[in-house]
Amino acid sequence: MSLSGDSVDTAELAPDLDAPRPNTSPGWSRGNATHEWWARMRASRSGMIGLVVLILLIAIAMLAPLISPYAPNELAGESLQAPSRSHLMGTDNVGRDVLSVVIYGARIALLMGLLSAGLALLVGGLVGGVAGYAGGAIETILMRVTELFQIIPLMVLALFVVALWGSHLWLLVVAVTIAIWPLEARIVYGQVKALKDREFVQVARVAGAPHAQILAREILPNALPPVIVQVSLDAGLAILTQTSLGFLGLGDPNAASWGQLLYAAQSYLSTAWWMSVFPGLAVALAIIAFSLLGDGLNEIYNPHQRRGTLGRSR
Amino acid sequence: MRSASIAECGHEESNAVKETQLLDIHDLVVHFLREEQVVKAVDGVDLRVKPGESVGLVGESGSGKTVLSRSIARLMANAVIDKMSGQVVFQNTDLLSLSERELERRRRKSFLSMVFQDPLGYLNPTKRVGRQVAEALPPELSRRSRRHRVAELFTQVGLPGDKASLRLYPHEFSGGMRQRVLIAMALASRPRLLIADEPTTALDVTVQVQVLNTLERLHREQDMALLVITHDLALVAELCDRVYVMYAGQIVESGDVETVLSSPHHPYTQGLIASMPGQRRRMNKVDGLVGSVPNLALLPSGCRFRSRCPHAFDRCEEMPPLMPTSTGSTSRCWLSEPEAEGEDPS
Amino acid sequence: MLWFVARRVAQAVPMLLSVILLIFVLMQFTPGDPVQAMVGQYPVPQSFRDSLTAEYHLNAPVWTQYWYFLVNLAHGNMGYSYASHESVTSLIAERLPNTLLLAGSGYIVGIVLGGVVGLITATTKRRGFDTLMQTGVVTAYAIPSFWLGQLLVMLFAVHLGWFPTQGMAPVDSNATGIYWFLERLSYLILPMLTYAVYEGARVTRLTRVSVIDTLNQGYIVTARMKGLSRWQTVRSHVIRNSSLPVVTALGYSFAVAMGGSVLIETVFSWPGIGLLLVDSIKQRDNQVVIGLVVVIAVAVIVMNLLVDMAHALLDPRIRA
Repeated sequence: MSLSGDSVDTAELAPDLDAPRPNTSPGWSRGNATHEWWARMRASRSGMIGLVVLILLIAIAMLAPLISPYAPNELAGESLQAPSRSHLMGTDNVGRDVLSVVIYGARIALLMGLLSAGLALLVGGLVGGVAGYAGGAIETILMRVTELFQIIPLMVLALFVVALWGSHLWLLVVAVTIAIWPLEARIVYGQVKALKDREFVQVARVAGAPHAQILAREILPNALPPVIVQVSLDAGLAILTQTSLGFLGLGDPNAASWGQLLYAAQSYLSTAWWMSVFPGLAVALAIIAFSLLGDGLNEIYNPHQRRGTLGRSR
Repeated sequence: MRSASIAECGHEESNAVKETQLLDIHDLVVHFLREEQVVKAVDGVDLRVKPGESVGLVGESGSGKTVLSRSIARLMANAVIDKMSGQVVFQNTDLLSLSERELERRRRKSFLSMVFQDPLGYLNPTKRVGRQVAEALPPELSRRSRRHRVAELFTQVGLPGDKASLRLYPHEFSGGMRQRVLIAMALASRPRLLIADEPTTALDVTVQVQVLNTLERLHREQDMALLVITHDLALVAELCDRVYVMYAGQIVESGDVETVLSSPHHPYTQGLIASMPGQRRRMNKVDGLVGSVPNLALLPSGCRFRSRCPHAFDRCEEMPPLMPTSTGSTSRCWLSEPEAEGEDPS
Repeated sequence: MLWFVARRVAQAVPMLLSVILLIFVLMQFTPGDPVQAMVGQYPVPQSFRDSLTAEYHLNAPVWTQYWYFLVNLAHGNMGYSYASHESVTSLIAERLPNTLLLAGSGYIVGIVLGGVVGLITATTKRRGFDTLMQTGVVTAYAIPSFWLGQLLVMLFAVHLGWFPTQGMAPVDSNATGIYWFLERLSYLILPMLTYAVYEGARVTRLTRVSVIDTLNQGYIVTARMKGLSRWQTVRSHVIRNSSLPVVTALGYSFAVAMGGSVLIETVFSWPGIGLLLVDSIKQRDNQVVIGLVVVIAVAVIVMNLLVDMAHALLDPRIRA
């Protein structure tokens, strides 16, 4: 980076390089776009790493019964054994095989993470979309409420819900959803609001298209890219929040999850490092995968601001 | 081949008058990269400014004139530069060969200064204007003489120099006043050359006149050379002795302002003049300009004005050199050749 | 400036009331009766339930209930913890300084570190360093804070034995003066580091983007034209201007830190409000939980207020 303010200059200089904005909906058309999408994805280093790791994790989660040496809650040997040939990641305090718990944990993490992120997108998308499209008092009220949810720290909000409502598996999903939906709401809101005034939407409106059709055909396809990026990042966040609740001992005690293992590890830090290291690595890997994927998607959809988290990708 | 002919054209002259030139740009080439394309912003430009002279550089936006002015002051980022060659000789030193440190030293004393187009963007919004101007003063000055000098500069450019005004922030000034602050800043190092890049474009018409008058007064009183970069020929007519017309990275016509304005040789200059407000009727033979400057990353071969030129013919597929014309100006157009005009140059 | 402060404070009040309303509304959705929501599953005598019903008018309409919820809060009454036989207010007051010490020190170290690293990565010409730091930031982001805490404990406390594994002070200590301080510091360092890594990563990222953005501003060209050196330009024009968006983000970042304190305090058994929150949830002692959520929300609002004022101090444009 030099200190001379080049970007101001080049932008002034060659306006022709920026194609004029078309009057029609610039949404991603089907068919040819898939091909181009994939080409751009392959050019993105972070995106590819994220994608590969994620596919790997999904494969592990789906094939868990086949590749896992033991059942997740099976007493596989003596407790607190260090990693060895028979237990590659050792055993935990009750004698479960850590590797098996880590493998099965991927199921819970991905399932609950994606479920919460999806639900959050649904709620947030609805609130943000309506607020952005409707405007006026509805907009003000909805967005103020969204802000309120964001004042209480995400983790504290999730904990509060768990405290009030309990910690069954599906309640945990609800708790995480309640904590992260405002993120989705804000991004959808911003997109819809910006798109609402663009010409092609105005044209559709003047032509008398019903609101639902304008939203579905004109706005949603164009609002989607940044939302997809956000969902990818938030899926990682959902997994993190989920695991955190587990680590605090508030997860479902019967589910073999990464968080639950880390919770147990807390009491054996001085003797059984493997109980913490391996599930922790798994969590970190999952979060990295989602965040790199998000970066990659960002590079695809916003090629102008090409600065991924893995440095200046080129 | 092309660059050779350009060099031929201007070089004998520049050798002969080298000592008397304040700024002597010779065959300057600045190409930079933008979105993986080479943008030929400045492509073999020769330009000279004598001490105390006022010179205009005219062209539409996108013609490369801003990059040219930035390159003179070496205020372009190195990161995006694809190719930079030629010479920018200022006070007998080639600026392009200077180290960054040496440049900084020279910028502080009797160097060249710049005034930019958008005064709001070029002033730091979080610093008091007085301090921003003071920064441009030589560091060895005492605090007291510093304050004194800032107040002096403020009054010179027609701003109130009292303490309260110096403590204001840029957003508390009007556009014209901000431009004056920038001018004051540029004057702080007592420059021999002031490059003004569209100094009045962002201002209201009445304010434009005031700022212009200020510039002209400073130019006269301080014997400071001016290089005015603008798209506005009227401004050049008012302020300058000589003019260079730039198009798509090249100089297409140059000469005394009066000569060029009264008898333009290059069709682009003719178009520019025809586009001036109030000129349409007088020069109704020539149409105003249609279209815009070609993409500097995808330039056509031959004459770069060809696609917009009403007189284009076969020969324009070959790039014309800058050639002397019958009226003493130079023009980059085959039609300006003395034979083509059917006149005898002697 | 005074007018600006007054206006911001006035804006914060309805915000505060609405957040408390949100907390109150969430409580209304709790299965079981309202008393249940307040005391949780912790076994309490019927007399206590009755006194709560009277105190909070739990038989009255919802709006009256909200009013008395507010009235009690305004009087500093956040209920009584049956689990610890202490009023919630004094329980929180006892723990809050510990959290502020830990989160505050980690926050400050992280901001300073992140600011410096972010500035260097944005201005350096060495791409290798930039890429290295960027990768570090991604990694730091991906590592769950509590796992990082566990790793630090295993490495520095268990394996190397440099620091104590948990707690805030030894049970029986008679150290005085500088030794007292050093002893306390040895307990503080690992949890503080955990905070700092996380906060540092966030600030590094923010600072880098902001500095790059500032470097593209016109006044940087002006500064170079004036003959200021690279470093002078950075010092005089880049640092302050690029800190504006970073400062704005610190409010949000404080909320994240408060959320993180729950996890980090648990790893290190640090007796702050985060640990209190988790313990209370496990004991189903809802009075304490509600009190804590209110206190944390208030803290975030106050922090946002302070951030706004800092922003106004740095940027004369918004001081109107």
